Amino acid sequence: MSTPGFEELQKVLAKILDVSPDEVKKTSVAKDFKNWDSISHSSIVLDIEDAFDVEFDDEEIFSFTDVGHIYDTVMKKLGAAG
Amino acid sequence: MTTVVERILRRAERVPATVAITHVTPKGATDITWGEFADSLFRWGGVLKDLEGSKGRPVLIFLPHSHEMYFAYFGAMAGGLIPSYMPLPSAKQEPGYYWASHRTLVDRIKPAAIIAPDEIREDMVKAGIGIPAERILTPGGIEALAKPVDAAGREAMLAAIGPEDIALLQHTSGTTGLKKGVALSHGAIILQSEAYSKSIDLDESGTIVSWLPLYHDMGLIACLMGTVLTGNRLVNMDPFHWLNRPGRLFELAQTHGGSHIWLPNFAFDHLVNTVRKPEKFDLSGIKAFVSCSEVSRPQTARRFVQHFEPAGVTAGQCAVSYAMAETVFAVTQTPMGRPFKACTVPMGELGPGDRVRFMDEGAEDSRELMSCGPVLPGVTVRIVDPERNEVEDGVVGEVEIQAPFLFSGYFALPEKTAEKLRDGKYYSSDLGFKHDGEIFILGRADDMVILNGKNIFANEVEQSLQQIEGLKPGRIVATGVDDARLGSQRLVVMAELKEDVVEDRQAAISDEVSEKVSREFGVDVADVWLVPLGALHKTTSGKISRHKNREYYVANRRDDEHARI
Repeated sequence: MSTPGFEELQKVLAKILDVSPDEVKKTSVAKDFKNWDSISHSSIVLDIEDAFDVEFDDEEIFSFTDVGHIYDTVMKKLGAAG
Repeated sequence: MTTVVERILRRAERVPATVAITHVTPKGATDITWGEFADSLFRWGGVLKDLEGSKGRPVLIFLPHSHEMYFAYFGAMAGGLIPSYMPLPSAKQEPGYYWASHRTLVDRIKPAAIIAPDEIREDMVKAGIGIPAERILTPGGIEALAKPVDAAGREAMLAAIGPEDIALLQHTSGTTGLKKGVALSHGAIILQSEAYSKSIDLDESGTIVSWLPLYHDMGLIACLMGTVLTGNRLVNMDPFHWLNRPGRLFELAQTHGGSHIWLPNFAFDHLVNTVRKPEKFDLSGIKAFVSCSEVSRPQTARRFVQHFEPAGVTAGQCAVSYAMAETVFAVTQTPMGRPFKACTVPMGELGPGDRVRFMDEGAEDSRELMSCGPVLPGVTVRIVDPERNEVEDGVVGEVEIQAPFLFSGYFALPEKTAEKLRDGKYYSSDLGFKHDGEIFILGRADDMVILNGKNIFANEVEQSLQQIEGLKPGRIVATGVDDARLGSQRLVVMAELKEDVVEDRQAAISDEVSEKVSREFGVDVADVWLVPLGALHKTTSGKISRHKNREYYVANRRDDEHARI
C-alpha cells in the first residue's frame, strides 16, 4: 500500500542505510538498522531535509528514532507549508 | 599557590557581571555570569560540605546537559569533596543493568553522594547502585536545602582546601567496574593550565566553543577548566545536540567570536561530512582547531582545510595536542599558526624497537603520521624500550612523561598506580617516536581501541563474550580497524565457532555478540566475523595474536561479507 511521500522517504533512508527500500517500514526503528547510529543520524536528517525541502527544529531531531514519526513530521511540515 | 575554586571566586569578585558560560541547548542559549557561577557553586558546596563524613570523598555526578552540572561539580570542590562527571547510559544500554554495573566501582571508591535527576535516581535505587538511597541527591533536593554563602563563609570554605588536595577524579572508559579514577590535585590542574594556555595563546579575552562531554578530559580540562582557570568564556553545547546538528558549533563560534575549538579526529570528519554549505560561515577568526584524544590524521586535516576553505580556514589553524588525563591534559602542542606537519613512513604497523624509515611524501605504499608538536615547557618526554631505557630519535617505544603536573594516582587503586607512576614518571602505554624535536604518536602499546574518541579495552570486550553459547572460549579477538571516511576506528570482533554449531545459528550468535557489546560498553560492533575452529592466528607461545588477526582481517575480509567496514 502506498502513502503519499512515503516512497520517497523510503528511498532516501534506504540509500543512506544501505538497505533495500522495502526494508524501511513505518514501524521501523533506528535499532533495526546497523548503519543508523549517533554519527549517521545527522546525515539522515540532512538528506531528508534536502529531499523534501523542509527544515527540522533541533529539538525535533532528538525524537527521530522511528520512521513513522519522521514521516508524520515531514508530512506535517509539508502540509503547513502548502 | 591557589585552588581551582579560589580562581573562580576571585574572578567573580572582579567581573561579576561578565559571562563565564553560555549554555546551549536545542531550545536556545542562556548565560551564566561569573557572579552567578560563584553564588551557585558556594550554595551547592554548603549543602555537600554538611553531609556527614563527606570531606575528601568522591561525589559521582550523573547529570544531563544543564546549569546544575556546573554548580554540582564546582560546588562539590568548594565543599572539600572530590567530584567526578560520569556518563549517562546510552539509548542502547538497559538502565537497570547499567546502574547495577556501577556497584563494584561504588564499593571501591565509597562516594559520599551521587547527584542525579529524579527520573534516574529511581532507576539507580531500584537497580541497587550500592549507596544508601538518601545519599542519591537530586538537583531539586540540593536547591531546597541550599542557602546563600556570605563572603566570610566563602573564605572559610576556601581555607579548608589546599593546592595539594585532590580536586577531582576523571574516570577512564571501559567496563564500569574496572574504571580507574585519575586523581588530580588543584595544584597540578593549575600548573598544567598555566603551561598549556601560553602554548595555545589562550587568555581571558578568548572564547572556547565546545560540544565535548564533561566526563572526558578534553571537554572537562581543555574547555571547562580552560575557561575557569584563564577567565575567558565557554560556549558549551550538548554533545547529542552537536551530533545531530554539527554545523551549529560553527554558528556559535561565529556568533560569539570563538577563538579555540578542541575536536577529536573523528569530529573533523563528521563536520566535513555534514556541513554542506561551508561558505555560509566565517571561521577565519578561530585561532586554533585543536585535534586531540584520537590519533590525528593528516588526511583528515587536509580534507577539513579543503572543505572549509570557503569559510576562511587555513592549515595554520589546525593544531595538534597529545594529552591524557594522567598529565591533567596536554603534554605537547604544535606551534600556533604553523600548518600541521606530517611525515611519510612505509605502510604497515610499527612496533616497539622498530626504526622508522622516512620516505618522500606521496611515495608508493606509504602512509602519513601527524606530528603532535614539541613538548610543553617544563615537561620531559622520553621514548623508552621495555627496560625503560631511552631509545634514539626515530625509534619506536613507549612514551614516558615527567611533568610538574602529573596525577596523584588512581583513586583507591595503589597497585595500579604503582604500575604506571614510578619515580615521578608516568608510563603512558602509548607508542611513539621523536623526530626533529617533535613527538609522533602511533597508537597504544596495550589493547585500547579508540572509537570516535571513546576508549574501549579490547581484552574487556573479549572477556565479556566468553560465555556466548557456540563460541570457543579463549578464541575471540576484539580489535579496532581504521576507517578513513569516519576518521576513527571501528570495532571488529573475530571469533572461532565450536565444531557443533550449525550454520543456521550463526546469525543469532552474531546478533548476541553485537547486543552484548552494545549493552555493556555502549558502543556498536561494526562487524562480527565468525570463523572455523583453529582459524585465528596465534603467537609462537600459542596465544591469540590481536595484531596478526587485525592484519588478517584487513587483508581478507571482503566488502560483500559484512555491512560496514
